[in-house]
Amino acid sequence: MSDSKSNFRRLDEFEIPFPFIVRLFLGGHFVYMGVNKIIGSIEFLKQINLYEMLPSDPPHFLNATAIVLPWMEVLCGMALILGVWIRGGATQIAILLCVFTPAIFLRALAIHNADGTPFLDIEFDCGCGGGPVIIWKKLLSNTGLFLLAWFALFSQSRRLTVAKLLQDRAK
Amino acid sequence: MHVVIRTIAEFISISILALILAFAANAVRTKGSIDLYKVYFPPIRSGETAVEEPTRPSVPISVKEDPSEKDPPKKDFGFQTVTLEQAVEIHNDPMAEIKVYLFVDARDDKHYEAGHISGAIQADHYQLDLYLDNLMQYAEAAEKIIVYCNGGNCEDSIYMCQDLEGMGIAKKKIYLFDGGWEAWTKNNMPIETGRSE
Repeated sequence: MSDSKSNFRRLDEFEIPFPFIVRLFLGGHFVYMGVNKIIGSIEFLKQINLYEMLPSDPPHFLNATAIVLPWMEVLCGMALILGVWIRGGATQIAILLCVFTPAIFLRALAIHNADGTPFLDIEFDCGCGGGPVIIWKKLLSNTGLFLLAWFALFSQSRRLTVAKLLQDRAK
Repeated sequence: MHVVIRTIAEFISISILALILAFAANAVRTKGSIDLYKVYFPPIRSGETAVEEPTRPSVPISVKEDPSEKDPPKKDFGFQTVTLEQAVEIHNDPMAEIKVYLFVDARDDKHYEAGHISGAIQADHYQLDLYLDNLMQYAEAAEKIIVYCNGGNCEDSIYMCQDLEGMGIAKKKIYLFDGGWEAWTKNNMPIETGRSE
């Protein structure tokens, strides 16, 4: 843990503001995906129903998830971009990825087992906000996003955050 | 320890803010609003096509060969189904022009506006309140109601058939065109774009 912490610190101290770039990329990604889900809320509801993780009757859990989850993504993304509540936002993103990445994998596996489609050819709309995707690429990109969320969580750099900018201005 | 507590506090703050914003936005939006208490995915009843009418529509059909005889047995969703040929025949009947034979597109706005069976009205199961008045106006007067969605694995037309039945429309008037939009466009049948209602 101390090793990984020191690695994070080394990245924090780089000339190029890596933590800021990571926050901007990760935050931007989640804001974009979240907004897409808010706009296509019914489509998102249909997609999460396909995972069969929540019962469709009684409908409260499924419907509430479709209502709240996209806003959670947008707020987490905004938190990272602005540099407010970075750890809370990064933790939430990491948890979302931990829940949905295995779910996507299991759904793809079910398709593979059902009709014998080669796993690498499986493509569907995972309800992630970006339309139909090749699943192995999605799994790979989610793993990358998880690592970035992990980095944002442990990074101690507060360069280019709203709080820091306000603090500098006050001085 | 302090960092952990702070992280948890931030996590909870974001969650509460998301809950408030999400439900507020959902309450004020007109289109795309999700009803927390509505069962959007009711169980699809099957094997109960217990209607007195024959499974085929009673309009004269001049199809020489019934493709359904060649196809594997279709799933029974509890509603009468029409094949593409039968749907075309109904569509070509003058009764379809005056909507006595009514085509109902059960897809969402985006898909409906991009293209739909000419003369079809839209009724999205997920936003039924928005279409209810228009749908009922035509459905009550119609003799046959042909409901379709994308085709393939699309279940929206089945939900719409169940909605129509739930609204008191006689089951014998409701027909499911399960080939749907895909079958219709593959065979270059007449379509319209935009909103024709």
